[in-house]
Amino acid sequence: MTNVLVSGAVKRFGRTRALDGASFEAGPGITGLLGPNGAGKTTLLRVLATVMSLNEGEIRVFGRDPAGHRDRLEIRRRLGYMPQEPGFHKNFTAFEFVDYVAILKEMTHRRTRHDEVHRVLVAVGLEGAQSKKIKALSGGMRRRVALAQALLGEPELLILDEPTAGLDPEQRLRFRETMSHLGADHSIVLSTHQTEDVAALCSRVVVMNHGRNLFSGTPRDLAELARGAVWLSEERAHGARLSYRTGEGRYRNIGTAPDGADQVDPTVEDGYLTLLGDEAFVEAA
Amino acid sequence: MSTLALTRWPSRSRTRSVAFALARREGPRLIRSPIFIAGAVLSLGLFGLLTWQQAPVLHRDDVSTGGALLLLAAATLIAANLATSRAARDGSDELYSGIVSSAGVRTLGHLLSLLWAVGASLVVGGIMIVYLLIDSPVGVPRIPELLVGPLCVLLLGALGIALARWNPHPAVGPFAVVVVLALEVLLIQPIVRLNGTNGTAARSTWLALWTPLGLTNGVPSELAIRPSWWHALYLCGLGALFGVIALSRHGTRRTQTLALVGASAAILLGGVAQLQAPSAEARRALGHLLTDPQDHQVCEERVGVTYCAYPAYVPWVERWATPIENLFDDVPLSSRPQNLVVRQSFGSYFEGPTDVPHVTLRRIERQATPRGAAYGSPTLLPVGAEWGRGKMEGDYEMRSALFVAMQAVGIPQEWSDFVLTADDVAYLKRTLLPSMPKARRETFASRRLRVGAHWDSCHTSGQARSVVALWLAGQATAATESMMERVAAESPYGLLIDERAGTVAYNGPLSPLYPLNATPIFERVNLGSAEFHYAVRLLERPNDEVKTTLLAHWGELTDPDTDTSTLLTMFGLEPFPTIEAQLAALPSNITPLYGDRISTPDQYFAGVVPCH
Amino acid sequence: MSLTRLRQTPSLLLPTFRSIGWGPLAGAAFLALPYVWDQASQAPVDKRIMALRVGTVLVCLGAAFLLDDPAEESIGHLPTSLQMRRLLRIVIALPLLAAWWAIALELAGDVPVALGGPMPAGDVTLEATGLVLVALACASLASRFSSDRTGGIAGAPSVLVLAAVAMLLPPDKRLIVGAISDAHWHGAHEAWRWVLVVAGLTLVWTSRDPGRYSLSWRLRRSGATLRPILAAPAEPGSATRGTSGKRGRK
Repeated sequence: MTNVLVSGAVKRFGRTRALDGASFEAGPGITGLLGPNGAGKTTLLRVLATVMSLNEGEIRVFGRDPAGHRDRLEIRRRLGYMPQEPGFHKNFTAFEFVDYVAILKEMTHRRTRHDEVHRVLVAVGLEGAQSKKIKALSGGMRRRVALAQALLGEPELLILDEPTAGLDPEQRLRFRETMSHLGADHSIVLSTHQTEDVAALCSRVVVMNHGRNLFSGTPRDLAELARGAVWLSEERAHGARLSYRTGEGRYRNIGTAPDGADQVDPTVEDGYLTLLGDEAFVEAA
Repeated sequence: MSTLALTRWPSRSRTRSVAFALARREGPRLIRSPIFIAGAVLSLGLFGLLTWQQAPVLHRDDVSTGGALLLLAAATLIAANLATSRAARDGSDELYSGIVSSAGVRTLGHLLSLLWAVGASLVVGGIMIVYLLIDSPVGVPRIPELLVGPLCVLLLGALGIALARWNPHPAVGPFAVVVVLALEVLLIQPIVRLNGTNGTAARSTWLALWTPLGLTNGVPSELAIRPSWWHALYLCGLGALFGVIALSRHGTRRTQTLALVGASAAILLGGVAQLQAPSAEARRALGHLLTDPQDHQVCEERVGVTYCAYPAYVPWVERWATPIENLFDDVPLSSRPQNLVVRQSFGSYFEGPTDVPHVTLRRIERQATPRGAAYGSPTLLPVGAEWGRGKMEGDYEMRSALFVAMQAVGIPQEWSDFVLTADDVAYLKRTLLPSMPKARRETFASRRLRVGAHWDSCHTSGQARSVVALWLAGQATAATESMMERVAAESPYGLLIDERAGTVAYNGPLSPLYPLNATPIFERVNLGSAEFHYAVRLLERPNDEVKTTLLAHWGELTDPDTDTSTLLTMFGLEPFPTIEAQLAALPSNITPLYGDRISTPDQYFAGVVPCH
Repeated sequence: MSLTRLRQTPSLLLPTFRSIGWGPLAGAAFLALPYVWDQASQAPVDKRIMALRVGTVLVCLGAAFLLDDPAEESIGHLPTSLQMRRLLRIVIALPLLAAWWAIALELAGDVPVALGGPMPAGDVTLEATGLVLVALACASLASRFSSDRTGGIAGAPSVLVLAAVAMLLPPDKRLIVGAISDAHWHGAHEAWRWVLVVAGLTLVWTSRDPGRYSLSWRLRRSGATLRPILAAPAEPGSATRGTSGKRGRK
C-alpha cells in the first residue's frame, strides 16, 4: 500500500527552485530522506504535510489529492507533522500546548483528549515536565514537545523533519524505539542528517539534492554504492576523495581504492558520500 | 574616579573599526528597507502638498523641508528600531554573545549606520530644493533650516535604536512614532491656533522638533525670527542623548559619560537660547520693514507702472506685471490708471505670532484707512510676500487684474469714494433702521445717514461696468480665465439644489470671488454674482469679438447708470432668472437648507448701497 | 461552520486568548485613553475627532499584532484552518476593542453645540472600524510574505503609512477629513465604507490556507492519475538512481 506519492514536483521561491522535478513514494514503514543542506527535503516534507502547495507536479496522500479542500482536510486528520523549527506559545505548559494542538486536531471530548495528551507526552519521555512552561524547557525538550504533538491521535502518516536534532543519545535511542514500534503499522517519513538513524530505522531511503531525488532504495542498497571504494590504510591516502584518521589510529579512505588495499564493508554514510560525489566531499571537508 | 560602574570594552581603535564595518553593512540595509523608502516617498509627497500652490520662496520653503522630512525621520525611527531589535527577534543575540565584539559595539554600529539615513535624507532634501529651483524661486535658503530634517532623521533614528535596546518588541517603534508626532502636534499647536500677534507667546513651540513659525496663518516668514542655529544645537543634543541612552544599555564608559554631559549641555544651551524672545532691537528692525518699506525696497518702472519689491523678491516683478500689462492692451489709453504703484507689503491682517511689536502692527492697520500710506490708495496696488503657483497663480493674478480693471471702468475702491446720495440715505433708512435698537436709531441716522457722508462699502450688482471689469480681469491671463471658470463651476448662479438630499441653498447675490477677500479693497466692493457669471459667459466667446464690441461701446458700458440688461442685449446673452422666480419654481419636495426660508437678494443688500 | 468546528470553539477560546500577545494592544489602549481624555476635554468637535483618530491609530498598531501566532509553523498542518483560528482571535479581541472604543467615545463624545456638537458617532465609528480592519488586513498581508508568518512587524508601520497617505491625499479625495463642516466629509465616509469592504476582503483572502492550491492548478490537474513508482514494498536491490545523480560526479 502506498500512502504517499509525489511525481515531478516543482516548488519555486522566486527564482529558486526548491523542488525541481522530485519524485517520492512512501508506504508503510519508515522512509528516510537524506540530502545536503538546501536539497529540498524540508520543502518536500512541508508539501506532504499540506502546509505548502506545489507549483507543478502530482501529489497524492492516502490516494487523495491535497489540492481539493475536502481531501486536504481528510489528509490533515490522518497525519502528524513535526516541523524542522517548531513554534510554541511559550507561556503554555507542555501539557497545555499539546492539548491546544489536540483541540485543533478536532479532539473535542475533554477526558479522551487529556488521556491522549498524557499518552504522547509519556511516549516522548516528558511525563515529568508536562506542567513546566515551554519557556522553561531546554531546546531538546521543546523538540520532544513538538514530536509529542505530531504523535497525537496515532496518525497514519507521520512526517518528521529532523526529529533527532538536539536530542541526547538516550533520547535518540528512545526515539528509535518509539519509531520502530510505530513504523510497524504506520507510514513515517523523516528527514535527517544522521545516516546512523537511517541505517537503524528506515526500510527505504531517498537521497535528494538540488530539489531532485538521486536515489531511492533500501539503506543497504545505498551502502552498496560504495562497495569497493572504502579501505583502511596506515597513512593518509592522497588519491582518496576523503581520508580521515579513526580512533584506532588508521586512516579510513573513500575513493578509488588502490590495488591490494585493505577494503572494508561500506556504511550508509559511505554510500551517501559516494552518491553525492565531489559536492559531498567539499561539504564534508 | 567616576562613580558609575565601568565595564570592560575592547580597545578603542578596534571598537571603532568593527563599529564602522557593521555600519557599512547596516547603513545600506537601513535605507533599502521598505519603511524607509515609504517614508522618503511620503516626505516628498508632503513637501509637494506644502509648497505646490505657492511660487517658491527659498527663505520660507526651507522651513518646509524640515517638516516634510519629519515623515522620513519617523520611518527611520521604525526602520532603525527593527534593525536593532532584529537579533533579539531572530534569537541570534545568543549567537553574537559568544563573539569578541560586544553588543555595545553592535549598537554603536547601528548608531553609525544612521549616517546613511542622514545621507539619504540630504538627497531627499536635495530633491525638494531642486523641485523649488525649477520654478524660478526667490530668496536664499538658510543652512540651519535645511539641517532640521536630516538632524531629525538622526535624532529619531537614535531614539529608535535606544528603544530597541531597552525593549526589542517590534511594536515599540510604531508606538514611539505616534507618541513623538502627538507631542510634536501638541507643541506646535500654539503657532497654528494662536490668534493675535504676540511675538513671545509661541516661544515654547521651539521645544518641538520642527516649528512652522512663519509658515502658518499667512504670517510672512520675514516677520518671524527663527533661532535656527540654537534649534539645530538643541536637536544635536537630543540626538546625542538618545545615542548615549542606547549605548548605556551595555554598561557605561567614560566617553559615554562625557557624551552625556555634552548632550545635556547642548540641549540646555540650545533649548534655553531658542526660548529667549528676540531683542527689542531686532523686533524694531522688523517693524521698520513694514512701516518704511521705501527704505528697503527696489523700484522699477514698466509701461507707466512703478513696481517696488523687497530685494529678495525683485524677480517677481515680472509675475506682478504680466496680468496688468496684458489688461492694459484691452483698455483704451485714456482709461488706463495713471501713476499706478505696485508695492510689495507684508500686510498686518494675518492671525498668527510674529516678532513685530504690537504697536507697529496697530500703526500699519491705521495706515490702511482712507488715503493711508500702505493700502487702499487708488494708485497703489499692494502685493504680498506670496504668489500662486500652477492653478493657484490665477487667484493672485486676478487680484492685480481686477484692481486695475475696476479702476479702468471707474468702479470706486476707496472708502472715501463711497459717498451717499439722497436715494442711498432713503434706502438705508428703510432697510437698516428698523432692525436697530430705538435708542441708537436717531444718533445713527443723524451721524451716518446723510447725503454726502461716506459709507463703508458698495455694490455694483446690476451695473454693466461690473461685467466689463470682471471680463477684463478674467481674460488678462490664461490663469485668471481658468480661475474664473473654476469659481463659476464651484459656485453656480442662484439656488443650489441638492436633489439627493432634497435641499436647496443660496450663496447670495455677491460675487463668489472669495479668494480675493484677503485684500481689504475687495471686501469693500461687491461686484455681483449675476455679473460674475455673465462675465464667465463672455469669456467663453472669442476674445477679439468681445473686445471689439467692448471698445466700440466703452463709454456706454462703463457708465455707472448703464445697467446689466443693456450689456446682455448688446452681446445677445440670455438673462438669468431672478432668485424670486427660481424660488417660485422649486419642486415641493425640496426644502431650504438653512432655516425655513431663503433670503432674497434684497435682504442680502440691506445696508449695502450701489457704487456711484 | 461545521458541527466539529462548533464543538471545538468553546475549548479553543481560553487557549486562543492565552496565545494572543496582548502586550502591544494593552500598551496602545493604555497610552491612547489618557491622550483622548486630555485632548478632548473642552475642545471643539473637530479636535476631539482628531484625538479619537490618533487614539485609534495607536490601538491599530497594537491590533496589528493580534494575528501573530508564534506556533503557526507547528499547527499549520492541522484540520482547523487558518481562517478559523484568526476568526477566533478577532472574535476574542472584538469585545475588548469595542469596550475601548466605547470608553474613548464616552470621553470625547459629549460635545456641546457651542463646540460644534453633537459628535458624529456613526461616522467616527466607521472610521475606527475601517482603521482596525486595515491594520488587520495589513498584518495578514504581511504575514503572507514574511518567512516566519508574523505580520505585526510590517503591519504596524503599514498602518502608519496608510494613515499618512489618507491625510496627504488631495483634499477632495482625502479619507481623513479635518472638519465635519468640510463639504467632503460625507464623500470621505462613503469611501470609508469601501475601505471596510476592501480591507475585509483582503483579510479573508490573505487568511486562506497557505497549503491550498490555486484554482488554475486544480483545473489543470483535474482528472490526473498517479501510478505508484514501486509496485511492491522495498526489497534489497530494488534501488533506483536518478539521472541527475550523475551531475557533479567525475
